[in-house]
Amino acid sequence: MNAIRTRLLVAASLVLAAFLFATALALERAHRAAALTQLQARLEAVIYTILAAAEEDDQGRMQLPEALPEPRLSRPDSDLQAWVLDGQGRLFWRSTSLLGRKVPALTPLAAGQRRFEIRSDRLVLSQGISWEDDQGRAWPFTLAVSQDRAPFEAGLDDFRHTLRGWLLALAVGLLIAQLLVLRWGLAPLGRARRELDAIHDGDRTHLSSDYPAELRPLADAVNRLLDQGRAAQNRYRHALDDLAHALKTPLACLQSLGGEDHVDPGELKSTLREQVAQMRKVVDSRLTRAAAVGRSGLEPPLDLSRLVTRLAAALEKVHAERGVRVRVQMPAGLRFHGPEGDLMELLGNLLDNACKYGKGQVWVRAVCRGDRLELVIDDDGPGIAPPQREAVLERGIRLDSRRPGQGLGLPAAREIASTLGGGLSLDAAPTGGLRVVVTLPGCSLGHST
Amino acid sequence: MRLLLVEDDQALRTTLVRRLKEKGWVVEEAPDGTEGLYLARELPLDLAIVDLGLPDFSGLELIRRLRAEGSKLPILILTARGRWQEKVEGLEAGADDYLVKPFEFEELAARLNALLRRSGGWASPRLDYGPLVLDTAAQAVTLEGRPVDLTAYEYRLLEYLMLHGGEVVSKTDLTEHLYAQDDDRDSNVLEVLVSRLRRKLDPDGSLKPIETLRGRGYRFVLPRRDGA
Repeated sequence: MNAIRTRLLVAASLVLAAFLFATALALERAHRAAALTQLQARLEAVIYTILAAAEEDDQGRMQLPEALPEPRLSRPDSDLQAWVLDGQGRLFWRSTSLLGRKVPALTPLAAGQRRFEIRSDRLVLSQGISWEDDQGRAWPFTLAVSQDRAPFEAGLDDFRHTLRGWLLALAVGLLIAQLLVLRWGLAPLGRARRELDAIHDGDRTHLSSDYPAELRPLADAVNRLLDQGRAAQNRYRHALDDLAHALKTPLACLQSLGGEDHVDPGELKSTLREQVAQMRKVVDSRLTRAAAVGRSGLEPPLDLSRLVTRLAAALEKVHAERGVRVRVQMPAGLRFHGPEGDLMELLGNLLDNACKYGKGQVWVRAVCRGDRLELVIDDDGPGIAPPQREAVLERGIRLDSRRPGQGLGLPAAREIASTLGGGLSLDAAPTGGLRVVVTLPGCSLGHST
Repeated sequence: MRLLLVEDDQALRTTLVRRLKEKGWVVEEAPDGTEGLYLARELPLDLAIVDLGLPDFSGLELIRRLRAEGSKLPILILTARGRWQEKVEGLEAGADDYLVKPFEFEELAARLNALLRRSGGWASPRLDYGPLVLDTAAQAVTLEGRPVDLTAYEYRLLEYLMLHGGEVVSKTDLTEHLYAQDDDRDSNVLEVLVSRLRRKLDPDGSLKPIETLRGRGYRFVLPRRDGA
């Protein structure tokens, strides 16, 4: 039941079966009703024929001839019979076809009354009449015409069989058509599966781009995830390569130091410090960059103001004794469409820099230009002279060696910005401090909450 | 100053405890959150260092529970990942500062001193009482500009008194905050320490920075020059 094809097939077959069964039932009912009405009309006609054939004797009383214009009444063993009862319920007349047979029971009717009965062996239409003789006396009679039920039912059965045969053929035809439609409709899914297998085997890199409209968003999302995964994998691999390479030198140094028998404790300590500092720098810079997730295009919209406010509150707490104040200015309802962790890393690095380097005033502004988010972070610190800016972004030179962990923020932030498909540049803030401008794709102005 | 260190890595914990003790801290250690929470509830602490990645429950949880109980203990978190998300969550949970592993011990010591000072209501690293100045960043004391040579214990005692300047500090307070539980708690030791400190700070007996209140404790009486 878990395959879409099976589900559709089972559901459609059940609906089809129910529909055809109901159709058969309705058609049979309707046909039977029509046949009964038709038969009743025919029996009525016979009654009129009998009445038309009635004659008068010399006193004007009713007389019926032996032979009637309806030949089926004159044949013995015919399935059509007729008889007449008088006012006392006695048999007054019967058709030739009733000769030698038991006359069926009949309740006399008042003049003008008519009754149609479906009995177990026959269908009877009876009619009460009044015959006025020459003296003006009214003689009540009851005329009855009867048709054997068996041939009538046989006719209905014939119809039923034919109908069921046709409906069955129709069902088979529809099922085949449905199978074909399903095959055709679900073909893109099969194709997607084959393409995914091919991607898995390394024969393809992406799903093709010509899927039907319903599947295209899915295929696009899969392709984006594949790209993101590959980019992240590449980043991780490069970062690990770099990391291994960069760690092996200090490790070798420490290893050889550990193997020496006579080492001066002072030298040991200073070498240990140096190498650990080297390793720490490597770990800090390369791992932070590799950890960026990148964009998949499936992230829920992120309330930028909330994120920046959280960061600002955290940084104001950390830098409380320097009285740092972060002012956030952005339109309400500004949404960023991208990974929260990466944006937090990017902004955390930049704001932390601004808090550390400045004299305590930090301004964060954000605007949405089209679908590009522009973030401007100003501080009131010494700033960075234009010739040094590129070097700071490239290598993260420590501008202030008194505070450890410095200078790494900007290159890491730029790395993350480019991972997210944006960029980062440095400028001078109006206060003379540093201005960092970050532009990122993926921004909208939602409803403010 | 009594400090709680909650860290599951034994090698790091041992090193930190040794070096913190050298700096004159009284260090209580816990390898996991459960014990850390217990010690934080039971002991008179001045500071706590909490590692975020603990084996039983996270350091975040430990901080949240302490804060939920109304504890105002200054807390510094240690994090190995160093992601901003984690730092912000830690600070939002109630931590006061963070430090990313690996770190220089001097950096940790500086942050601890800053936290201690902040919790005492001092904005500047210098506790300035006129002629007597204690620099918590440099961990140095000067008398009329000349450095005073103090042992780690003497320094911590003076720091505690100066952070609580003008307040009466009982002997119980002092022993609780300056000595480990298993140390000799004889109050004579404290009296000896105080009198040594007086000799070093006030060689000619004219300044009288520390007042003894019989049966109640000590009070640092010099007027404060800045801060708060």
